[in-house]
Amino acid sequence: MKKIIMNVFALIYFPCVIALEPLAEDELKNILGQGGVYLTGDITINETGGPLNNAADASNPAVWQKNCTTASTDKRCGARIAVNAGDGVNSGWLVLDNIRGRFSFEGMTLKTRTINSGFDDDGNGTSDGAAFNGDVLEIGLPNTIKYTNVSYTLANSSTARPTDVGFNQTDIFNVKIDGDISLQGNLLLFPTGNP
Amino acid sequence: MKLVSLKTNAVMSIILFSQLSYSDLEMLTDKHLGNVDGAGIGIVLEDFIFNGGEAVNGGGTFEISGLQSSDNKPVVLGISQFYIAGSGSDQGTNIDNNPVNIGRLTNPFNLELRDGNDLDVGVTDKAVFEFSAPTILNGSRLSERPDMGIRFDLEIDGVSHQSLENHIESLSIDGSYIRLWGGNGRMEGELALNVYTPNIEFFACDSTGLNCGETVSFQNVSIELELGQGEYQPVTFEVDSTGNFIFEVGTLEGKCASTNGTGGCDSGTAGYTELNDYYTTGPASNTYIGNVSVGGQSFGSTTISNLQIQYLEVKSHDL
Amino acid sequence: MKLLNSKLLNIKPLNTQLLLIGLSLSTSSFALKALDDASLSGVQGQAGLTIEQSQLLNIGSLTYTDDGNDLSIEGLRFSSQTNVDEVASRTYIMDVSEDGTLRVQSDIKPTQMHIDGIRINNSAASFGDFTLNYEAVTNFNIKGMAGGGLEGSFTVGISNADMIWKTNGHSMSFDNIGYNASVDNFTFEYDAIDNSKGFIRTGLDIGMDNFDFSFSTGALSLAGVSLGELAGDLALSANAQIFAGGRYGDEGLTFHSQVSILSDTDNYVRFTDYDSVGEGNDLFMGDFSGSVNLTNLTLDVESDHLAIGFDQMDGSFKAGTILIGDSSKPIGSIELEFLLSDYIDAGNSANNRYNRFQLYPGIRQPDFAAMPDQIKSYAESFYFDQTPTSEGLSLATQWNLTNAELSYIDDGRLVVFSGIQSFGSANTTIDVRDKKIAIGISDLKGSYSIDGLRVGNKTAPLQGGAELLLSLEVYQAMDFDIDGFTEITAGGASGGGIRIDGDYFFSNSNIGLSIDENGEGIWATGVNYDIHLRDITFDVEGDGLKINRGEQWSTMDITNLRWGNKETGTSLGRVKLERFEKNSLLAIMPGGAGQVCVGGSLNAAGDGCSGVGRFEDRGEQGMTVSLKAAFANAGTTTDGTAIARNRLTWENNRTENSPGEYINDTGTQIIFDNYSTNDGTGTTDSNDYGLQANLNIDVFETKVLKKSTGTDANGVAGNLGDELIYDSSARDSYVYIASPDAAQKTLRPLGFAVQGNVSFKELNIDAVQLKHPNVATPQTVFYGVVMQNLDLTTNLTATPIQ
Repeated sequence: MKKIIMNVFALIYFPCVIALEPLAEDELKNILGQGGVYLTGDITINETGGPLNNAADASNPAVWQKNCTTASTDKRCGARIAVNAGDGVNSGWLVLDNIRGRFSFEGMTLKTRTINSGFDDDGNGTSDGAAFNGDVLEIGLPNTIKYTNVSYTLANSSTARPTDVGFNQTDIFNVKIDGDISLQGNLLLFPTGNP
Repeated sequence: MKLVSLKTNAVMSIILFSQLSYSDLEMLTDKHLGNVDGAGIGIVLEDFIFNGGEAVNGGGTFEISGLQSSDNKPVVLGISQFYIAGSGSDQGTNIDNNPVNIGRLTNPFNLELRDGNDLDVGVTDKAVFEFSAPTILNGSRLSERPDMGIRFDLEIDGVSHQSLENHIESLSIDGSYIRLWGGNGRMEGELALNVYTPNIEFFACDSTGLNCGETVSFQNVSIELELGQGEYQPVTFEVDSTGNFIFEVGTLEGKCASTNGTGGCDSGTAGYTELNDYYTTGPASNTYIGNVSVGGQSFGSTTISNLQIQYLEVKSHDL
Repeated sequence: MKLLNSKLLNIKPLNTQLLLIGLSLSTSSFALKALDDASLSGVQGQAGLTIEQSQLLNIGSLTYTDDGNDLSIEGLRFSSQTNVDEVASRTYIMDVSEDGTLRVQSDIKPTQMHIDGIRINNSAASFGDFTLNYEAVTNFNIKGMAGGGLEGSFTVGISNADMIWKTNGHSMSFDNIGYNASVDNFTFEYDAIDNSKGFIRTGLDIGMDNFDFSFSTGALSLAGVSLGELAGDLALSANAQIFAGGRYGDEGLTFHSQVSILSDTDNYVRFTDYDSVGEGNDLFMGDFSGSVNLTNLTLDVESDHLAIGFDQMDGSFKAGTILIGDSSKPIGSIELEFLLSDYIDAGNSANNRYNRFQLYPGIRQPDFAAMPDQIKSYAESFYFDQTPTSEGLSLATQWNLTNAELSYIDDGRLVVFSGIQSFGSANTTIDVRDKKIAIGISDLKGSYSIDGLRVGNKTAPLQGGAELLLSLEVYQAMDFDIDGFTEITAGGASGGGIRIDGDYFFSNSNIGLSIDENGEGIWATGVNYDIHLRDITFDVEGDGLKINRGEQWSTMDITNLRWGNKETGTSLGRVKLERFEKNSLLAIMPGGAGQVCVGGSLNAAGDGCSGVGRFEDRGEQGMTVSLKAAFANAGTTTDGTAIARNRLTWENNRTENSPGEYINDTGTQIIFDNYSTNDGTGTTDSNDYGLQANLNIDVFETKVLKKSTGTDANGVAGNLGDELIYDSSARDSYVYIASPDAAQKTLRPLGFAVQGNVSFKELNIDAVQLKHPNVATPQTVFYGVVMQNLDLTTNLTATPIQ
C-alpha cells in the first residue's frame, strides 16, 4: 500500500505549491510505512516430552527416559532451565522445571516504525513523538493469548542436571495456566543514546 | 516447604514529620536526579492492557500450587484476576478500551550496560547491567500511570477459604532500578524501588467473592526504598549448595579498621571517611503515607524517613 | 581452407586480420583416384562424392590479432585419441539434391584435439592446456536464398567425448559427454545493420528456428573422482548478428543475439549425484521456457587480457517443475525476470556501472599487503605455490543488475521477491590443483538489495516481509567488500557430490536486516565477518539436498546496530557473534507441511482437527528445511589455525574518536560466553543431537484479523476481529469482513505458513559476564545456565503487512 499512498499524497500536494517540488525526505518518511510481518499461530513446548525422554534412543540417560504423553505429569517430561546464581563451585542452582504447554495467538506484528508525531501528554505540552523523531522496532501484542495446559515449577537444586552426582531438588511452587489472557498494545524497542 | 526467617539490623534515625502536598506525587528526595541521557535499549509499552484470571475472559485455570500450610495441607492460590490497565479501571471492572502507555519515548524504561566508575554507580572498573524505570521528571503524566490489581483465591486442602484483593491506582515506579555486576565470585547488585500511588486498597472476601470485609486503604503513598550501595555494600542473591535461597544486603562490619571501646569508629581511623559518607549520603529509604484508613475510619498519616538498612539477611530453610 | 570457405559461402571477407603463422601439415592424405572405364560403366548416375580423410595435424600457433594485440593458440593438434603420433580419420559424403541443396554428411571417428596453451601477447603464463576427445556424426544441408545469403538445416551428434582442462599438471574433466543438436532451419545473411558505434556497419545475420539440443556428461571429475553428472534437453530459437569492430580500438567483434527457449514440457536440466553404492539421485528442473536478449556483446584482445563486455542483457526464465531426489512432490516452480545493463551517470562518472569481463591468462595474485589482516595469512597460503608462469584463468569482472524479479509458486500461490538490484566488481582466479578446483576472489565489492515482496500476482502492491528470508540466512540488502578463497573437491559425504573448503572475510560491510524499499529499517553496519568452512559437502540424496558442514567457525563483528538509515540511524552499540560448529547439517527437502491443524492436533484421518484448532491443507508442494546445528564447546579447530568458541557480546558506552566513529573494546560489555550443545550430561558428553530445527514452508492463505475497531492506516474501516479479505485476485484493494464465506476465504492475504519444530537435548551457556574496558578479564555474573530437554513446535503464519 505504500506506493499507492505516496501517489495520492502527491496529487493533493501539487496545487498548493507554486514551483514543482518533489516531496521532501521527511515527509516521505511520514507516509511510507516500514516493512513488517503479521504472525499468527501457536507455540507448543514438550507436548509429548522432549528428545531426552525418547526411550528408543539408547544414548539418553536412564533418569530421563520416560513415556511422556499429553496426560503424563512426570517432572522429567518438561523442559528445564537451571541458572547458577552463586560462585559456580559451591553454590546451588535456581531452576524452572517441567515447562510444558501451548501458547496460541493471533496477530502478533513485527515491524519498524518511524515516530515523529503523536504521544501527546493529555493535550498540554509538546508531543513526545515529535521530540523523539526516530525509529522504533514495534512488536504488536496479539490482543489475546490462549494458554493451554501451560505449567512450570520453580525449584532449586544442588546441581544443574538430574544426572549430576549429588543431585537434590526442592520444588518451591508450581504455576498452572489454562485460559485466555488479554494482552493488548505495542511493545516499542529503540536504542537510547550512547553506543 | 520453606520457612523464611528474617534477621534485620535496622537503625531508625530522625523521623521527619513534614506536611507536603502530594497531589503531583513529588519525589521525597532530590538525590537521584538520574542522567536524562540514557544509553542502551529503551522500552515503552503503548496502549497496553493486561488482563487474565479465572474470573475473566471465559475463565480457565490460573493457579500457584505446591505450597503447604503449617500442618502440611496443600495450599493452592488461584488468581481470579490480575490486570494492568489505564486509570479509571474501577477495581478491574473497566478494562476494555482503557489502555495505558507505560514509559515515554523521551524517558523510557531502559536496559543498559553502565560504567561502574560513574559517580552514582560506585563500582570500580566493572561493567554494571542496569534495568531502570523512567527517570523522575516532575512526576509522570496521568496517561502513563497504570491501574494494577490482583485477586487471589485461597484454597486449603481442596476447600476454598478466602479471596484477597489488592488494587493500586495510578501507579508510578519512576526512578526505580536494579543494577547487577559480578564480583567476589558471585553476582552483586544494588536496588532502588520507588512506588508512588494515590490509593492502594486491600480487602478480603469470602470464597465466592462476596461478603467482603472492611477495606484497608493507603492514600497518597510515596515509598522510596534503596538497598545497597555499589561495591561498598552490595546486595546479593544466591542459592547455596543445600538448595536454599539467601538474599543479603551486605554488612558494614569490618569497614572500620579498628573500633573503639564502645564499638564506634573514630575520626582518623582508616575507613572512617567512607563510613561517614555512608551515614550522611548513603542509601536511605523513605515512606510517606498520606492517610491510612480502615473501613472508612481514618488513622492519619505516617512517615518514615532516612531509614538505612545496614544489614539484612533473608534465608530459607527446609522444615 | 580459407579459400574453400570463401568460394562455398560467397561472402566478403570480414574486416579482421587472421594470420596463419607456422602452419605445418604433417600427414594428410586425400584418396582421389580417377575411376577406370570398367568401374565407370557401373555407375548409375548417382550424385555425390565421398571423401575419406585421415589427418594428423600439428599447428605451432594460431593467432588472432586485434588492434595489435595477439591472442595465440599454441600447439594445436588433431590426432588419434590413443596415440598422439597417429592419424584420426573421418569420412565426408557430399551430394547435391534436385533443388540445389548441398548435403554434407560427415562421420568423424574418435579424434583428439589438443591445445598446449593460450597466451596473450606472449604472456609468461597461459590459460592452461585443453584436450577434447570426440567422435561425431553430422548432417549439414545448405542452399542459397533468393535475396542473397544461405539457408539450410543441420543435425550433429557427438558421443563419447571428454573435455579436459589442465593447469600446472592437474586436470579437471567432463567425461563421456554426449551432445545432439538439430536445427530445422537456419539462415545466414550478410545484411544486418548496426549503428551503435556512431557509424553504420554491416554484418552477418544468423537465424535458427527450432534449435533442439540435448546433452549429457558422464561425470565432471577431478583426478578421477566424480562430482556428478549433468544432462539436459532444450528447444530454442535464436537470432544473432555479428559485426566487425569491438569496444576498444577499431578491431574486434560485436555480437547481438535474441534467444527464445521454446515452451516445451520436455525441456529439462538434471544433475545426478551417485552415492558410494552407485545409486543416483537427481536435482531436476523441467518444463522451462524463457528468453535472453543480448545487446552489444563485444570481444577485444587487449594488451594483457581478453576483454568481453555487453551493454545489456535482459530476459526471463520459468521452470515449471523442480524436483529433488526421487520425490514425486515438487518444491514448486520458479520464474525469473532480469535486466543487466550499463548505467552512465551524466553528472558524475564515478557512479558509472558496467558489465565487463576481462580474462587474463595465468594467475594474477592479489596485493597481500592491502588485504585485511584477518584474511591475509589464508590468502598467502592459498597462492603459495603459484608463480607468474603458473597456468590458470584470472578474471576481472564488473556487473550491474538493474532489476530482477524472482517468483516462487507453491500450489499456484505466488510470492515475488521484487526489485532485486546489484552491482559490483571482483577479481577472481581459477585453476585446477591436485584433485581440486581453486577459486580465489579478492576485492569483491558491491551491493545488492531486495525492495520487498509482492504476493498474489506480479503487480500487487509492494509489501514488507523479506525479513522472512533471515531464517535461511539470506539478508535483504548488503553492501559488501569480500575476499574469499575456496577449494572445491569432488566427492560429497558419500559417493559423488561436491566438497568445499574456504576462508572468507567481509570487511566493513552493511547488512540490512529488516528494511523497506527506501533502505530504512534495522541495519548492521560496519560489519567485519570472518568465516572459515572446512569439509562442507553437498549431496543430492533420495529425500533431498543435504549440506553437511564438517566444521565451521566465524566471527561477525557488527560495529553499529542501527535503527533507521544505514548511515545516520541511532546505534544500539556493537554486537559481536562468534560461532563454532562441528558436524552441522542443513537439508532441503521437497514438500511442505501438507495437512495441518493450527492451535490443536490433527485427527486420525488427517483431514480435520480433533477438537479445537483450524484445519489447513497446504498442498503437496512447498519446501522443508531441516537444520542441525551442533554448537561445539570452545576449543582449537581441527586444522589448528584458530581457537574458536560460541559467544555473543553486546557493547555500548564506547569512546568516540570522531563524531559518529566509536572505538571497539572501549565500552562496557555483556557477554554470553561459550554456549554449546551436548547430548544431556554436560560439555564432556557427545554432541550428536545438537540443536535441531525442522521447518515446513508453504505459501498459503493466512487469517489476518483487525486489531482494533476503526480505520486503518490505508483508510479502510473495520471492527475488532474482522478478517482482511481482498476484493479480487488482483489483490490491490481489500475490505474487512466479520465472517467470510468459503469463496472469500480464498482471497485471504497470502503469506508464508511455517510448521516448525526446534529441539535440543542440552544447551549450555558457560557464563554470563560483564566486562569493563579498564579490566582485561570479564567479571562473571552467572556461572552457568543449563537448558535441557526442549521440544518446541510452532505453527506460524507470517504474512507481510503493508
